[in-house]
Amino acid sequence: MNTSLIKKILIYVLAGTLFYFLFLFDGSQEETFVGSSSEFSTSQVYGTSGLITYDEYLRINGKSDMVDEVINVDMSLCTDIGMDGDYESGYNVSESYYATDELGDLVCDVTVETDGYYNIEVEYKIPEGNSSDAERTILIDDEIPFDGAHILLFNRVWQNETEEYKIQGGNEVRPKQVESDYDDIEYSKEYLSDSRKYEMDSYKFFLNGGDDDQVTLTLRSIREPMNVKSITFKKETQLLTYEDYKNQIDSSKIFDGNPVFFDAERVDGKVLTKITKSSPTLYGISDFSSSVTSPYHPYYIRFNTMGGYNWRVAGDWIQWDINVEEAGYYYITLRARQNTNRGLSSSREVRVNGEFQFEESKHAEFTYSGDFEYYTLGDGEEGYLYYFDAGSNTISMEVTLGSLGTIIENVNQSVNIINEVYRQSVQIMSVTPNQYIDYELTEKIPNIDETLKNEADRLESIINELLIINGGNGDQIVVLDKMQILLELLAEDPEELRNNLTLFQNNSSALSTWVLQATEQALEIDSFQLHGLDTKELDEASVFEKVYYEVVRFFSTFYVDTGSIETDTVANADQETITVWVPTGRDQAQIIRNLVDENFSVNYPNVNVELQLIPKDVILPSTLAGVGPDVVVQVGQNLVDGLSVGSSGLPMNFAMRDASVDLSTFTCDNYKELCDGNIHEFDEVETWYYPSAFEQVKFQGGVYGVPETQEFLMLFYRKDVLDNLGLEVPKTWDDVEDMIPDLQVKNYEFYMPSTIQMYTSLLYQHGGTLYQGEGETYGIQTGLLEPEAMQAFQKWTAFYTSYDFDVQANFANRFRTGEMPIGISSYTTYNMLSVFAPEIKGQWGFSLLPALNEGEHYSVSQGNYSMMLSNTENKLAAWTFIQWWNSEDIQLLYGRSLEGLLGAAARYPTANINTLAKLPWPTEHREQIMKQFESVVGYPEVPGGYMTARQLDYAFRSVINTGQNPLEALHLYTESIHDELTRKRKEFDLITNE
Amino acid sequence: MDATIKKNSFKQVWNKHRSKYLLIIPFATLFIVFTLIPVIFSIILSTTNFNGFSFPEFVGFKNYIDLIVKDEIFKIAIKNTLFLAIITGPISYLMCFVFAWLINELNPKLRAFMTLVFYAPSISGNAFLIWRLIFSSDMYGYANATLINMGVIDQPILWLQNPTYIIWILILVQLWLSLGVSFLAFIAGLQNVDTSLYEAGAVDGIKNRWQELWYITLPSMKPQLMFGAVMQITTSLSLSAISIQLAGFPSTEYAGHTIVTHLYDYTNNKYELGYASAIATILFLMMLFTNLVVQKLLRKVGT
Repeated sequence: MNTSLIKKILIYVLAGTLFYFLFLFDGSQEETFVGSSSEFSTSQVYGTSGLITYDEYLRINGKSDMVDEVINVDMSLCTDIGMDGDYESGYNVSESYYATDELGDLVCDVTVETDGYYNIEVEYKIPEGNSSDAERTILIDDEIPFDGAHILLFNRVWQNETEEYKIQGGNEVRPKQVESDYDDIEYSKEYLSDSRKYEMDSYKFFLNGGDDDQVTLTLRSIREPMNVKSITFKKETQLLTYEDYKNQIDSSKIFDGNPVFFDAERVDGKVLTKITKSSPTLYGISDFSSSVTSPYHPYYIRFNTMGGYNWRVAGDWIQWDINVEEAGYYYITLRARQNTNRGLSSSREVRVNGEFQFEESKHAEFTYSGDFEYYTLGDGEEGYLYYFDAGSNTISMEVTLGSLGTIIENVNQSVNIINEVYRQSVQIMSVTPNQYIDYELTEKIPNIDETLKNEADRLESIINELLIINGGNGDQIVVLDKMQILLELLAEDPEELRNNLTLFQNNSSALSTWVLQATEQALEIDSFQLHGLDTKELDEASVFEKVYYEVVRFFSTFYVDTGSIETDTVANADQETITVWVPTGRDQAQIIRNLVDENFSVNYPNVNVELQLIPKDVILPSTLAGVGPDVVVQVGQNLVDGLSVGSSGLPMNFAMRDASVDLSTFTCDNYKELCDGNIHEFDEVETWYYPSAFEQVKFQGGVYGVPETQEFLMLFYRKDVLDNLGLEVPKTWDDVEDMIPDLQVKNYEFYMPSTIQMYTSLLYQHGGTLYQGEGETYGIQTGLLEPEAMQAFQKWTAFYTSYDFDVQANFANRFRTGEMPIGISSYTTYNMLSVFAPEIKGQWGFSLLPALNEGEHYSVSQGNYSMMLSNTENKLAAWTFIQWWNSEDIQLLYGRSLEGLLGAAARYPTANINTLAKLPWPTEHREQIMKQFESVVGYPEVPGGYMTARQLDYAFRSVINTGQNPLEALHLYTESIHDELTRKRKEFDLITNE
Repeated sequence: MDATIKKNSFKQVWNKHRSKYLLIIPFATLFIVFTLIPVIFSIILSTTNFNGFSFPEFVGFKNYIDLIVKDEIFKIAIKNTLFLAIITGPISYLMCFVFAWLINELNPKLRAFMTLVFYAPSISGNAFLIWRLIFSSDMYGYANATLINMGVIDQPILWLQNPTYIIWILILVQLWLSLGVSFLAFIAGLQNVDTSLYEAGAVDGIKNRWQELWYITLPSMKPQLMFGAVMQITTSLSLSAISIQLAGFPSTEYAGHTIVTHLYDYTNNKYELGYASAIATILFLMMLFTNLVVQKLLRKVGT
């Protein structure tokens, strides 16, 4: 044996240990860290909303049995408080329901003689409103009992406007999605249950009548009006398990005829008579992947499946009304595909005629499959038998989380606690801890090791459960596994967090993403079969068939034009044709096409609209080449991508060069056709907007565009963090400055965008203006040399230099983790947060941009416009289109369709005041937006104006980068703005200072 | 007399080489329509005042005078462009050659693989955008995060907004991208060198690899060297995409402003197409001049 080698190793080990003790341990003892100690405030029982969880609620109230009594609440004796909105609230005697408005409380006093658990059944119908689902919070004796009871959702009912699919230019066109007529739908009866579907059973409420046997039940409106017909406290009927249910079946009643077959997406009039659904986004979709999917066409659009990725949110349902000739027991087989959640299954609640027939139908599971497969509803081996009456029946399928529910809820809670640990650790060691400092986390955050251990254990048991569900390891588990290992490590020595903080944070956001993905329960259904023991042939397409259709599809790309948006309407000889370009996207263009066909061509039959989808950058070249359009919609300026604005807005650039039409000339005086009011005059159109909206398109007394959208800055804040710190939402910049120390001492940050939009907002708040001059001379000189501009600039830069704000940051992400619990951002950030950060739902809000003087919350807007080009031959026809397109109703229809198609993330930031009031914003938030909207100012455009943004940016950077004095910097860089303004004004023969 | 000879010779030439001319026609048409005519047009436009919408108005050399005498920003653009070109041009040219030469020594399979590895950055379109992630100004940008973790800095550096760093980052990225077409041309050139020349050279008294390189390899691949040089000059003088994509447009204090971004500014923002044509013409002349110089230099190879 080589002894010298062993010796060498020993020496190294010894030296290493020595080194470790000498340096690392000494180092940590030398430096002492003085930080604030903080209470560790979380424990496992709280849910995301800060309320106790449902499990905890059940534990506190004891596991006693449910009460068998049935208590009907007399709706006529209820009262409402604070319901003074547009919807008339109160008890309707003739139809015996209680109408509730979108805000306020419905309060009912109920006599409860036997204390104990009850389910609550609500019978309701939602009247016309803003087409979003109704949201309510339930309070028992003025207290929200548990987490989950604060967001109860009540769906509206949607359907296709026409049952048939129209064919245009070879393609089927998606029918408009409309709410079912109020009079056509029945009242829905539902037990109150978890709208997130974490909990599979209906909620149990513990009612304690006290001495006087009285319980106060409050239904608090969060969103949308609702008519409540009845509220009943009773025990939900217990369902049989399938085992017991099967034993009761009379086997002679099992169906043995030919299978009943129907397509999931189209009404055939014989079997399928009606499709209704809970959301307008649940529409027929076209699948090209398999020729067996019916109906199929290799290259034209045929809607042949239903649901898909849009059908993934818990609580969304689709209902099929079908005719069955023979009463009896049927198996249900679906041709469907679940290709989104690899390693997990999608679940559905299956109701037949509105009822569950047995326990198992509460969660039918669809395992992952790349291609379409035949799923027979059952336990995997044996199919379940469902009873259908003779005649009309309904099948409904509602997205639920099934067995994943509790898992997801647990992971969610885990994420909350982990985030809390992260936030508290950051407060002590900042986001960039020094690895040589002992932060004494165990002392400063009580029980941190225990908390981490608990979470590690919790994740471990979740992983084990998932292993059973999946039957093996999958990529779904990796994320959990990584976090679990890290937690295990940290639990042993929390101090290690200083070396792993970034990893810790990354893992925790990966975990939230996991939750988001796991809750997505997509399912795409092609067709249904109700059958006995025989099924229709269950064949998939052969390889040759597939190849054949692929080849056909490939060659079709050479001769099928997908660029223009087709219509059936053929232009008449006496019609004026105008060309409209849409630079945004196919979905947008298709919606406009539909609106034109349905509405415009009806109201203005003498104008024919040709719609073309084009990329934005071809507008200029094609106009120059003389082949441009007559009208362009949805063009504008973008101020959000940082300070450096490359190009000023398209409408203005065209206006300055006489390439677009002054729209303010469209008055009764100039065009007699406008006099009878059928086509709005410009003066009337102007009143639909705040004057700020026109700021960007005004030039030399003319107006060169009609505003479509307006986005402006608002203040976003995390309620939970601010509450923890005992801070108020700031109203003025002084308030902001006051709160900064409190935030920063805990390592929280304030986000302020370093954009021109931010500075200009400050400028206007200081009473300054970007340009000087009036009327024709407006823009003759920059306003940035005035004292107000200087003050605003100084204030702005001070936030970055004196208060150390981050110049650049991913706000949405850091807002989500809580690192930046407060910040300024475009109000459309709301949409993003509401969709992509569900874990902080209800924990944040937004309010007016802080002001210099309270009440003057000026915020600068940017937006898109419709414009008309000068080479238009028929200006009147073009104007007819523009005034129609921007009218309140059409913009509202457009906004709703867009949201219907792309989801809530695509909520339309309309500039039309009346339209905004009708978009589906929660009431409280809409009020904030409307309030801010009142004090919005426009970003003015003048010849040479691009220089302003550019030089401001340079001035800002030089202050930030080199520490130059803000006043000097602004002064220095403003000179060339002036030169450029003069140079450009000369080019356009305008009055200059020289 | 002279005329008839010429006429004859044209006829003779045509008869003799007809097939070649026919073969060149497709390319020649495209070249004339899409390159030659636009260049001539642009030179004509550069003497006018033209905003794209209204008819051009002749102004003589006013654009050139303004450009050279008045336009302060053009000076910055020229300075940046030359600085970028002088550093990245020769270095990337050398890099192309050295890497090609090294790779040429490998066995064919490995060579093909390595070629792909080196060539990948320049064929992968906008892959250089990953540098934006690396030099993100956010404290979570890779460069910032690493430096903060190492304790070198405690505040994120605004890499792409700070004039001090912008040009160096552009140089770095351009070098990363530089193993492009010329690199491939060099590899092809190296493989086309007649191996018997090396034997002959050995007989004639070549002492080492350097002499072999200088007296045999390089002279035999002069066409490729020429091609590579032209490509490098054009790319390094017409840098713009990486500047716009990385440093934004316009970059802070014009720190990443090149002649081409200046041109872009005048066409897309200011709609002064006559002026922009003047810029283009000057850029064209610069390229022409550098090409002549480089050609002169390349003639010295192997002598």
